[in-house]
Amino acid sequence: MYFAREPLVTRLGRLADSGQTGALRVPGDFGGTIYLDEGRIVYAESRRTPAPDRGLVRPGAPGWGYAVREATVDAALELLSGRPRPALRQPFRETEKPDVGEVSGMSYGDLLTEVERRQGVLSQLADHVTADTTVTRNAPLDVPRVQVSELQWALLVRVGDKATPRELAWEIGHSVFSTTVEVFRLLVLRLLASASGTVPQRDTLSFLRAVTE
Amino acid sequence: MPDSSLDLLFERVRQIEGLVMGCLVDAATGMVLGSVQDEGESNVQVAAAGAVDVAHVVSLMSGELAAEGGLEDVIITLRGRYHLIRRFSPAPKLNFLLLVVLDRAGTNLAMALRQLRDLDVSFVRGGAPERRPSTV
Repeated sequence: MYFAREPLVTRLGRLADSGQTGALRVPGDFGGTIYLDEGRIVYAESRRTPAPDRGLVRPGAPGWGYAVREATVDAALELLSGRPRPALRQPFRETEKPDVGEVSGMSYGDLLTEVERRQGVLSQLADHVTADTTVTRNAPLDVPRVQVSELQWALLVRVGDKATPRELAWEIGHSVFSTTVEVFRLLVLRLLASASGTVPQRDTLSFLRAVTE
Repeated sequence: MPDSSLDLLFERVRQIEGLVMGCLVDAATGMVLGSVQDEGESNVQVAAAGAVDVAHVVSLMSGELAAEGGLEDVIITLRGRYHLIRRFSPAPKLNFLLLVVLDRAGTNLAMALRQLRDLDVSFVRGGAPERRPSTV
């Protein structure tokens, strides 16, 4: 075990490049742990994103590998998007392994590319909604007949008087990122309203723009 | 022998005549879960992101029309290529898109669509994949 005072993304890259196996801990209320296996990132957890078993998927069941991967990227997005805190100690323990079963994991490069893509998507939404924006159910009198997806319905029935995308993600066991995107789409449909009172334009969200700009 | 259902999926995607590129995308997040393509072909991330946007717009249209049922597939015809987008759910709460790009001169659209629908069914029955992107 040793300590370092370099930015988390730099530290993680160095550990991955040198083929390390172990757990990199990020302390604090916004912290978590990133697990490596011979340089590949096999799992990450954050105190602010749900674990893969929060949902209906159980270890070994179809979809478990995806649930682990999505939870990992969601946690990494949270950890790597935080304010740089180089002064904080990030202990790396070589003996720790995650309790998620056999998963293939991701390379550091693939993880970073995906995190940056998601940051690009979230920056498109930031004027209207973030993971911690309070939203309320909206019932305009002039809303047309509309069909929503299963996930959108699950969110609508859980919003209650008010909720944030992060709270909803924990409740339904989806990633904070995918829940924030879906909440944004419900804002566009005017089935939800944000505390900021802004109504997003239909063309605000584009996955394509997030990878081409 | 393929060692995962994702390998098996792309093994069968490779058999589609005129294949230029294929990729599996999570429709909820836009994350590319695996891909197969010719060396030097166009950016998978761009094609995948475009497919998710298209699928969302079509779903939005059918939602606002309150049309019965969800999206099955989208066929985009370009001058030189076809882009086929197939939606499927291999497990509860998973919503994937399989994008297949075909060289128009070298493929039979009806046959390709049939193959895509057949492998969709077998993949769903076979369970979820676990592997990362690959290149042919």
